[in-house]
Amino acid sequence: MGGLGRYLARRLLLLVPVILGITLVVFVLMNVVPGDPLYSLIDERSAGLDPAVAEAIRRQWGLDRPLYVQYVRFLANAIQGDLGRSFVSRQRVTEAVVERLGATLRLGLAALVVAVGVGLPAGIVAATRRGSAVDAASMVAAMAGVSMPVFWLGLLLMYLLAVSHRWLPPSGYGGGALRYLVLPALTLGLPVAAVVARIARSAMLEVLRREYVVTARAKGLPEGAVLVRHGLRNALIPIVTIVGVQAGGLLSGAVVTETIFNWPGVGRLLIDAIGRRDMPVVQGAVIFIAVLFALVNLIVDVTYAFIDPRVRYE
Amino acid sequence: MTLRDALRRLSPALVRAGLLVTVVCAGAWGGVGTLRGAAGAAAGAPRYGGTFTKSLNYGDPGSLDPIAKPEVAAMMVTMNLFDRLVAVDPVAKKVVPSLAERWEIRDGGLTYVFHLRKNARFHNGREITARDVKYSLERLSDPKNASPSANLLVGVEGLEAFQEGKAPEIAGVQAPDPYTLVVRLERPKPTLLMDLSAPAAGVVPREEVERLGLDFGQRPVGSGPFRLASWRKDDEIVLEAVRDYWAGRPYVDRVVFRIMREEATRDAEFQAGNLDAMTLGEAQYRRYSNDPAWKPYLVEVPELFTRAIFFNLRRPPLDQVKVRQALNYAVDKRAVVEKVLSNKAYPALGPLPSSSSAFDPNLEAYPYDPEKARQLLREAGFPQGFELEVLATAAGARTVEAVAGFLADAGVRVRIVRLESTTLFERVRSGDFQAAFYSTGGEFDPVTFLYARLHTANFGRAGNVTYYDNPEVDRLLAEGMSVTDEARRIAIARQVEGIVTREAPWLFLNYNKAVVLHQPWVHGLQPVPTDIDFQDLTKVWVEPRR
Repeated sequence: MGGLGRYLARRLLLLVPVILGITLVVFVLMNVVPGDPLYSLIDERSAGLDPAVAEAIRRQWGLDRPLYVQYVRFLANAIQGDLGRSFVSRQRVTEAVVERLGATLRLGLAALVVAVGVGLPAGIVAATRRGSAVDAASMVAAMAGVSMPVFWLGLLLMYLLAVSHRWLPPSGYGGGALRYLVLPALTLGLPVAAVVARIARSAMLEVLRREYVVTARAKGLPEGAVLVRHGLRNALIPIVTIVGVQAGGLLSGAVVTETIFNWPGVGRLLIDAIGRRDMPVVQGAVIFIAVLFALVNLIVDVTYAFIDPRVRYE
Repeated sequence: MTLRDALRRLSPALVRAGLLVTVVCAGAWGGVGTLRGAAGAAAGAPRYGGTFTKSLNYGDPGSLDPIAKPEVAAMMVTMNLFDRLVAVDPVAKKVVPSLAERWEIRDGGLTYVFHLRKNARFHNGREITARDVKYSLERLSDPKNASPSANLLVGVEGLEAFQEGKAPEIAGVQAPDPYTLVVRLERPKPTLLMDLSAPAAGVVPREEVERLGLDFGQRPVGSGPFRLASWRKDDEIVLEAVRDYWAGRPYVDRVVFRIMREEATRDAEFQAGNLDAMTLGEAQYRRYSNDPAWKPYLVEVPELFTRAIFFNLRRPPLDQVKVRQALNYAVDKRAVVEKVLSNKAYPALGPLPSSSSAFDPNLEAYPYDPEKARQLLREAGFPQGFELEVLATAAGARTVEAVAGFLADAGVRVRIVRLESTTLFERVRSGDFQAAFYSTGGEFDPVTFLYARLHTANFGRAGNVTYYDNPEVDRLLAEGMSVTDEARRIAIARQVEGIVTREAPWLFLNYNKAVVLHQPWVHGLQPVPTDIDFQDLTKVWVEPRR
């Protein structure tokens, strides 16, 4: 596996310029939007702020320095694992993110289970019974799933399963109890399940037309074995790709779901930080999400080798 | 068979179908009905114990350090964790004792002597002394701590020298013995007591602050009626009652603040019975206030906030008083309040909200008079009207659209620029706007409120964002800021109110109404005008549920 080791090392090394680029973009963006970051520290209630005190606050946070100095200083600290402290809470950014990272990962993984657990079987069944009522029904459901706004789906599930029928708690983290995870995971996972189902169906249809499947059937192999060993295995590459792309999205794009279900994840931290112009937190949260995204992509690429022996890492 | 016969024959089926639908719907919402059934109209005597769960609508507070940025989300929690020297009873509109049992004002209002109670303790068990109060006030004022409220004590002797690093302490704040705190002023400051009651003036224990450093805001230790039990970010903050609190044990054992930004989620949790109280938005208010079953459980108050379109008087044609008056005449404020704001507001007369002690209900204001508006515009030289650019947040834009409809009738073409609130305030503060729509206020003292927003000393960033300039108002407000006599101050505020209303630097639109909805088993929530989320949680008690 020397090839794979080298490949992994190279990919991880490639992360460095990517993250550097991201921090630069975020830094520039946050600084070109109109408004002095100083005033994110103050609000309307404390209208009359003495200029001397304002200056002291600015110095305290290093906002009196030129932008490039601020950026270089940020990078120098970041290399040592110090992403600074929040303007608002004065909490360490790394601590603020790590506190919420667990909840985000939990939700992302659960949603992935929903996406694959619902989407993959639906797609396969639809492909094998092409043109049947089952096919039509699952594709209509998939269409609805793709086009339904997450916001609406979430509230619908909440009112249906938590308010009308008291089967599940409407929102919250519940200290990690599984019941609390179901609704947000469904909300986040079902639209992805729809995408997975559609991709799985077309990939299966594509593969099932191939000569080796016809040959396998002609050999008299049982239909189940044909589907799994020859069909699914060969259809997996596009499916894994789409699951990988979507999984990255699950980790980063959970903001709406986290807000509706009051889920204490990184998404909400990021939204609050943007609203408060809390630069250090925005930077930190974005970096964490970017790294996660890159890692998921790496996992997907490595998975290819296990699915398809023809894939080699050099 | 005629159509009528067909209908007649079908009607029993239609009625049955209708009934079925109704029954099914009622069943679906039956949960709500059973909750109402528990409505105990007879409240009885307050009882101890239980948990009170309330929504925290504005996101995670971030920091619970009293000197941190004064956001509502943080203050509604910190005011229960920290005691101040004195407190404000916003409902009775007066300053009341807290850590200071009593005080004397000497030297014509220049010296305040506070006598501290002897049975007050920090949550770590240590007794509070005057030295702690001095330390807390110096910590707040020290620029090194970068508090946005660092200037709260302006006017206290020696504050500037301390802030400039020329003195190791604030000379005007002294603790001659453990139970006496003396505050000396450079000039009379009628708002001193009010300022000392601000959440930012919360008293903190030095040893904990030094032990925790910048993390004090994450693990606050105060002396208030509640202590922090746990805080899961973006999820919930749990407070636990201090049983040996100097003013007596709070009724409830625990308070849970659930951090919920989404209105629909709060609704669902409330209907599921998981929330004991929540502050309502406009759509929710329309629904619950029209429902006789819930109406008794609404607590409403005109808050100390005035919502207006603020004009930049340096941008023509808004420099002309007739134009500004015309805009005020052109809008049917009552209709906007009823139709757009679902009656969750009160039409405004002038700058001071109706809950202000200086509010004048007989103020000569602007009735809806489109003809008068057009006439004033003609006199000002705008028979064809003009174009007006109004900054608003996405939420505020809906109201401005309604206002724009009325202004269009008078010939004024409104262009709405939607901005995120931080950006909106920054543009307003830097003078880069023609007109802007938002709420201003939360100020208890009417003179302070008017001084900050209308005195020429506060042009621009300091608060007078409209660049309102009137020597008479300047003179009155300067006097008001140095007079201690409350009746005289109110008379001054009313006089200013009259002048400012006439000169219309703002399009006075409405005063905000804040509404809390609570479950039938909850008692003791108050209509707090400074912000209805600033509840005195020691007064709240809950009945056992079923």
